[in-house]
Amino acid sequence: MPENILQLLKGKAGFISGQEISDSLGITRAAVWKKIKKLRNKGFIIIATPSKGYKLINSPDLSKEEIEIQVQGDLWKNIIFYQSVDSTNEIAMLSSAKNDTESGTIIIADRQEKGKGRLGRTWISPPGLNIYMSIILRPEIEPKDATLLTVLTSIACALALRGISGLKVVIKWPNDLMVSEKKLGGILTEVRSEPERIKTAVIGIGINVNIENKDFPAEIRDIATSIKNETGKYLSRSEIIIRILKEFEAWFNVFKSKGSRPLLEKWKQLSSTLGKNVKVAIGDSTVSGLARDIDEEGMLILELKSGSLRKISAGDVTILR
Amino acid sequence: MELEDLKKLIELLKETDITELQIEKEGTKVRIRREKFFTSLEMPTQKTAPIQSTIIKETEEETQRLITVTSPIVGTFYRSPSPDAPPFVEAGLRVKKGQVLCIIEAMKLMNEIESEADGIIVKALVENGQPVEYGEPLFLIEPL
Repeated sequence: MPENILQLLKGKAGFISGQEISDSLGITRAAVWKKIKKLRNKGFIIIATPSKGYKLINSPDLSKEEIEIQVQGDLWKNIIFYQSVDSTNEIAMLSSAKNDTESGTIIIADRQEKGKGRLGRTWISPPGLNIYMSIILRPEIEPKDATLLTVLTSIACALALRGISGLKVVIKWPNDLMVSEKKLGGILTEVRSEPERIKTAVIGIGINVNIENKDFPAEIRDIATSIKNETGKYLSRSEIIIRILKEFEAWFNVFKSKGSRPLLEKWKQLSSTLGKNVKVAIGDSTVSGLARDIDEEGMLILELKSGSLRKISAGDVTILR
Repeated sequence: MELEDLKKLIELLKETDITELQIEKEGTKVRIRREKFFTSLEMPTQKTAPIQSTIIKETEEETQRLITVTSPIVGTFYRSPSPDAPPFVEAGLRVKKGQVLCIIEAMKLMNEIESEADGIIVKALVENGQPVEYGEPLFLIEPL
């Protein structure tokens, strides 16, 4: 990617002259001014003095530009930002079904009108506060290994959130991000498959960042939390997204070179479910037991009271005390 | 026999597969005959039903012609995108290659299974919400 005006501004602690920007980017002073105006419109605060030039004072907490200059790798190709969408996963599934979206495209929205949870449930998605994003990938893997993408994503999110907030974020099987036994985030992976191969995978990530407890709907207030709630601090959503994408790419490379084993090991370390007595709701029935392990695809292995083992592929887990 | 009775008789016949009927009553003889194509011309809306019923009584040869869609993963089978939504496909409906037939959930991963061919859904083999195994048959499709 060629050098970018935001990169130049961020690279200087003090002022950078219009001439310097113009020389570095090979554009006219008038074009420089236009670009500055564009950034200001997006919420960047840039002061300009005729003698010294430009200085970046503050960045918006969520911006495509900021993420773009930080996330440049082999995996990530394209970031599409929306102010408001029905659901980032829905947009990602629609555009990838038409085959015109590159693998490595990331869709980010400030707000979702119909944030998607599992099986038609909603994900609370007010504007200006949280992260709603979907990653489009077309990995060369078999449908049965698609669950490893969920394993990978939950590892990437847990590690990124631990690093940036200092919170002890853990993973509740299969893919809830938890802190203090409350839900901080969730992952909803949707895959389109032909019998033998995955055509496209969309990994939706929702993270409660700066939302206050009082702003959650009453029915989830006791079971949901945010980074702001837990730490008392506002965090930049761009910084978190950048960190997640970097962790994701690192673990994706591990998966490609070494297979699923290191992922499963890491997942077990970060899990809050294994070793606990749990209740799993599967459709209309429930089953209780000790969460023993996960298998090579990430399925939960439950030890029932009778001592027999049962493999669980889907269900809502409650940890019993 | 009154004209009304005759009309009723014809109507009744339309609903069956009978092609010829002869009645003799009080010296009057009535014979009603119809050609087979009459059925399909008269009842285009019911076209899908006969297809289904004939295929369920399938011969070995017909079974070979049908495509069996199997589950590529272990998980829970869903016929609709959400509990309130209508099913993706129903028996008797035409589907296109690439059209979504169902969702299989594993570890909260929703796997949309596509049809690999243009065809007609002959039968959905699994109930909504049931667990499925790797390779388990899900649908029978008659390719077009």
